[in-house]
Amino acid sequence: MSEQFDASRPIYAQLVERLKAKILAGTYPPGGHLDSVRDLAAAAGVNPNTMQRALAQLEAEGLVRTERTNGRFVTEDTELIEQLRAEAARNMAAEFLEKMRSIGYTPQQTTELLERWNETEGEQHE
Amino acid sequence: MLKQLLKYEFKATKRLYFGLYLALALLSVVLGVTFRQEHALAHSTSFQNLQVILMIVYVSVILAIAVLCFVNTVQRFCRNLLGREGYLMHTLPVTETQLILSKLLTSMVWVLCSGLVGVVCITVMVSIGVLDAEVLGTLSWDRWKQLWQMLYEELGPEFWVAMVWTILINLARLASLILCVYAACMIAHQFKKQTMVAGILAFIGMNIVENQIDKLLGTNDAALFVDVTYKLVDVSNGSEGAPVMHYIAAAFGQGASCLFCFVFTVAIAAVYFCLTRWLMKHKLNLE
Amino acid sequence: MSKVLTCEHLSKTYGKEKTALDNIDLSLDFGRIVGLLGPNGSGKTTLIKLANGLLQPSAGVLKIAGMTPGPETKEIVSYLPDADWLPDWMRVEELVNMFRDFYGTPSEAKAYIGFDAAKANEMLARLNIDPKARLKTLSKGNKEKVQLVLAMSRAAKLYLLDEPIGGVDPAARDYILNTIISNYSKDATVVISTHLIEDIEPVLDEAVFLKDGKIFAHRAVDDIRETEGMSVDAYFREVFKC
Repeated sequence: MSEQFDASRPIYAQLVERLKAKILAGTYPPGGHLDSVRDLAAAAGVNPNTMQRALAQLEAEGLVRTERTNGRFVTEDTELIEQLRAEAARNMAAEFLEKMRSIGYTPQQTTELLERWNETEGEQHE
Repeated sequence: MLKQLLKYEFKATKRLYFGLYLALALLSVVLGVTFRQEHALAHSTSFQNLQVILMIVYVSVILAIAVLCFVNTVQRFCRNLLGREGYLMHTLPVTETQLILSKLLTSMVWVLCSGLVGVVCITVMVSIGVLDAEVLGTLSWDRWKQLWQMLYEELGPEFWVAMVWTILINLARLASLILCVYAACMIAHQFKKQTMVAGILAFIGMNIVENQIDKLLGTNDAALFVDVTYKLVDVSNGSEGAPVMHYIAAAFGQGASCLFCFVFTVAIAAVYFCLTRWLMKHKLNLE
Repeated sequence: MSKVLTCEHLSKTYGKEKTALDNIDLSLDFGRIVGLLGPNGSGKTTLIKLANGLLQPSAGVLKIAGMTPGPETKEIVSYLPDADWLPDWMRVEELVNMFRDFYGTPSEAKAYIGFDAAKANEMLARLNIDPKARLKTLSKGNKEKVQLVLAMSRAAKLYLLDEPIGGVDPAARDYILNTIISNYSKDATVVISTHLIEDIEPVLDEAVFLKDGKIFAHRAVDDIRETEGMSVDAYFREVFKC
């Protein structure tokens, strides 16, 4: 039921990341209605105040908006979502390249690996 | 809330009492039947032995009821309020007064019920043993009425007034006795070691004090008939000195002295009640 | 009135030699889920019993919503003791009725007082507990579940749960924590005393660390994680290292 959390970082920060990922991936579609804080907290097995804090953070970033009577909705600003998604992708790619570099792969070698990926690993997975 | 407390208090205690009452009632009937001499068996030794055994069982059940009345009074207070179950009882939204009253009233009702059941059962036993159709035929409602009239005329209204006072005073004494037990329990609760000894000593101590005051005032003399606490029953003559009671009786009559005795007993009960309540409110420590 | 629980210079000694709580100052806000953490014998149970009026302070003051423990506070405090405390000859359904009789059903006007029997029955059904069973015939785990269901079905401003997850299986533990979360209200605070921190850590707002009868720390859980760079559980292990 409850999610596992990285022990060394604040839970609310991890919730922000997870919620954001769900919005970027479209699990929570643009303009979609979000469950109540309590339900979201219960589903994640976390404190409602912590969940509240995470949602407030998303609201500050413009990904979520609150309607006084109807609850919370994912933003309809697809441009913002796209932009954040591109940003997130860039960050992850940078992180990945950094890791590859740490074991001696140049960006070029890494690209070659990725290009071959679909042919070799992809088949294995199917 | 007191009503709810009483409801659950009776619920918790009734099974034991009803079990014993039922046993006593059945035994009364059986014993009553054996008393009838018309059986051919009646004179055989084995039958007589059986009768003796039944008598012993009968007396044991009566004793068991008496013991239960006492033990249950102590236990319902100590266990239910000062033991594990106290976690529940003391977190209910009720006052200490309600808790103590619920225990007191329940105990009093059971003591009175037990007395009544005892009397009824013995009457039933004797009736079954002695009365047969012939005797029953001679009894009529008119005869009963005659008997009552005779009693009333013979004894006069003073008798009945005294009777009412006796009942009232003894009810107050019963309440005072039970509250004394509760106060002793609360005092014992203050001791970590030798709780039992402390409780018994507290009970004896409080009784000595109460008796000394009794003696000083002469309140014992007012109890006319049966006295539940087995104090001296002495209507005719005061002991040494001139206790307050005698002045009252001399100045205002017997009724006033009974009233004084009643008020005094109620006051003693109130002192025990307040002591119990204060200790429960300010000195409760469930460890 | 702005605090649900306050302690000022609160001390409790048992006899002359044993000090269970030593000059504690503590205040808890409404709408929090608080972990009362500490090893055995650190004073957790003593503090909870003081708040319930089952123990009397040796010194200092303890107040519930501004009131000294008494019938008024007992209405707004729901208590789950760490030991068997219910009359075990009673049937589960009788216990439910008894709680309803004493605490009343929560009303619109006073939603923070009462006992929700329907909710209790629903939870009991969910946990597969036979309402007709007598308490003494239940297993230890089921007995604890019944006690917890009764405590959590109360409408209250302060829930004091002493070791609520000690004896139950992991599935029931999840259900219990979930109940605590879905029961959450801005007007009520839940205090959970335990030494099994890992399980309840994500559920907590703040943690109160008790050490030898003193308050060692009272901090927000995410604050501990942020500044110490470790979970509350790991922090606890470090603080109470033997």
